[in-house]
Amino acid sequence: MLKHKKSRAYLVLLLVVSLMLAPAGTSLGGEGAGLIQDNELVLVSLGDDGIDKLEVLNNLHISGGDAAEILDGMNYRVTSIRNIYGTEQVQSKGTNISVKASVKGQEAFKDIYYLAEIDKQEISRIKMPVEVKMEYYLNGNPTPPSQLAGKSGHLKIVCRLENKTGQTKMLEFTDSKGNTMKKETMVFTPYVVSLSGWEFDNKKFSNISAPGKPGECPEGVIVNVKGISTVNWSVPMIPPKFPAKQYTVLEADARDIQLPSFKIAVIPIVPTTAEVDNIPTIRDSFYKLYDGFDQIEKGVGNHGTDATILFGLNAIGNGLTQVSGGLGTLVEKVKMVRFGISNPAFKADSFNQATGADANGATPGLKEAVGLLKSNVDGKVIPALKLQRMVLGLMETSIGTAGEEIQEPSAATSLYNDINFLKQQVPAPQQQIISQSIEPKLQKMAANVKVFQDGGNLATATGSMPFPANIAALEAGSQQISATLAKVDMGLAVVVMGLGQVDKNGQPVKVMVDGKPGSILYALSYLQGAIDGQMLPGINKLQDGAGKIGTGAGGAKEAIAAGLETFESAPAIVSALEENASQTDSFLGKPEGATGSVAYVFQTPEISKQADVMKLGVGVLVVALILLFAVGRPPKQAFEAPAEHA
Amino acid sequence: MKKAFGLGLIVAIFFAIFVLFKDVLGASAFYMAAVSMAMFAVIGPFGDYFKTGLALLVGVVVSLAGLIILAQKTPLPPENTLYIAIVSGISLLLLVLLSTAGLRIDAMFLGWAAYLAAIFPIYTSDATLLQNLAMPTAVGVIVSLLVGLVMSLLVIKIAMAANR
Repeated sequence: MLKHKKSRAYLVLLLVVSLMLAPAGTSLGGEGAGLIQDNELVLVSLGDDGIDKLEVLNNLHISGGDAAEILDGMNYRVTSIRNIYGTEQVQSKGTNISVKASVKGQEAFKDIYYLAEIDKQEISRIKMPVEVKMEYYLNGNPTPPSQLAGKSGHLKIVCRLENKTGQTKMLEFTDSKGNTMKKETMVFTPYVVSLSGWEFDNKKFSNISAPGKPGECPEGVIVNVKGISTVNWSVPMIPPKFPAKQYTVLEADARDIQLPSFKIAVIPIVPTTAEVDNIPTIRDSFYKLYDGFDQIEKGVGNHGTDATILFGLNAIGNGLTQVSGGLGTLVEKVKMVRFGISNPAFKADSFNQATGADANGATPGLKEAVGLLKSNVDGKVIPALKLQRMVLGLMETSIGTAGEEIQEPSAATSLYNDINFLKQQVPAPQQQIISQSIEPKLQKMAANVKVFQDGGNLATATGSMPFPANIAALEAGSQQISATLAKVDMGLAVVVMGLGQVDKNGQPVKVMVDGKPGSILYALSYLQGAIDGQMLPGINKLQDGAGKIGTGAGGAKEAIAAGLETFESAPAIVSALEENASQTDSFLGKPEGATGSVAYVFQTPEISKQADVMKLGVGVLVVALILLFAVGRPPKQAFEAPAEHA
Repeated sequence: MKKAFGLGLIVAIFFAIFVLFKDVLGASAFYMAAVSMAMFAVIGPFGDYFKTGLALLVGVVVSLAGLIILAQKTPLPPENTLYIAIVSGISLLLLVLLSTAGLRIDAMFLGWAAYLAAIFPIYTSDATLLQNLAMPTAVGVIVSLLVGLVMSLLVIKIAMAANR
């Protein structure tokens, strides 16, 4: 009866539990298994030449459900599968891995862990999302890790990492003005690589460093505790913020090298950090920078836009071209003036008065004409006047004076002497004519000759008059003219010198005084040369430079615009990264409908002298056995006790 | 007395040298040498030390085989006590059976236990390390035990010399 009651009670309890679990059971999937979370840990053993062995530690976290066969994914061929913590049957079945699982009794969930070793032939076709390459250097020489054990020297370990998941995607986002923008960009699956717990025995390793290089190589953190230096790196491989290709470096002075297998964990994740978000501030600064470059570009402008640098420079260039042209004309005109004042080709020696030119046909300039004039004054006028004075002196002597002693007339006696002598020879009436008519006229003629010679009042029929045009005055005047002409010549020489010389090619001769042009012609030529040779090319270069500033400002604007676009697209990129990270949930595969996660652990080869130790240990073992065989056996005649009593 | 002192000194130096080079020999469980010496010093001057050494070797080999089975074919710790119990039971049964062939049961047990003492913490904490450590540890343990056995032989020789 009691047994019957108990059976009934169990039956009721079973019914109640069945009813309670019925809704959950129906929601757990058609095959009877509950919700499945498939967590994969891909274990990659590295050797001298890359990947040696690849295993996947798979954790199936099953919530609820009945006994069922779970078909897990098997993207790659496996050589062995083993349930490592349980007894559930795990085996390959076609292109899947079959797991017989059930959540029993009061269990809310069940975890099944199995380890699958990937066929080595599959390794070559597997594309790891993050490539990990180890490089070992001893004293600067590349050395495989298998040959490092027991060696000493400067050890350098380089771990090269590359995120190889980049794919081009079209992102849509809204810019600051509310416009929907599209941008094609390379989006990676975000991975963080953690190289942690790399331990180095301080007895074997010294001067340990893990240097960094911005943008390429993160610096490692070294902690020295109880004689062990532990080095850690955290390498986010999340473009565009972090490069897709990075490396870590460890350097140390090593003695008798022995290293454990280091772990390099690769996890798909968008890490949340406590970093202060400066992007809004930077974005505002970029907007201001954009405006600044915009104004620079507009200020530089172009040749056709008024009130711009290029327009102004173009105007200056045109003005200078005109100034240069004017200076050219001025130079030619000054040359004409210069040749008008003095013709260097004119030879005064061969001047022909009739033709007005020299033997070569060159006409005299003003200076040469002045020279000719002075030459005439000095050579002809003044000597002629001197001769006139001499003639007048002779006339005065020929006339003689009233008080002279009377001599018998001859060719040498004066008119006065001859008249006075004649007067004595003639009768009184003729004497009266001579005294009253001829002598006064003779006296007047003598006086006028004197006046004509030296100046004074000229006696005329009506009286007297001043006579400035006497020979002495003319001679003095001629000499003054000569002196003046000499001064004019000197002045013209100075003018010519000031205007400057011209060479046989008609170009102004270079004359520098105190570092400055020494003649008008050279100064004008110098000025024109400066305009043509320096100012105009300078203006052209200024235009080129301003053009480049404008182009550069335009380029900077574009770059800043691209940068702003990047800032504006940052949330879309982050979303794409997070989406990629969430989609990266399996390596070997997962059951249909299951959620998943995947992480990778790369294991560097252990560097040890284990093989040598083994050999030595076996050697000692053999020696010990030989020794025991030799001296540890009882004598044959000795009593052999039973083993349990020996 | 002088002879005894001299031989005792040799044993002491021999043991010290062994401890000094324990890492070179891979004998991390070097203390097992002392256990081995303590256990087998009672064998006496006419005991078969060579056969005892073979028994130690067999004990370690059986223990190693059991561990390999545990690591490769049964669930790993922590929830595998049943399998450890089964493997241990079968191992000890095997040792008892082998003792009938003339091998010392105590030496086999010591070898079996010494290896497990050295390797079991590794097995429970990180079974993946066994791949690299199982064999070297076995060699290290057997070296320690044989060194202890050799030293027990020396001790007996010393005792005999002293008594003589």
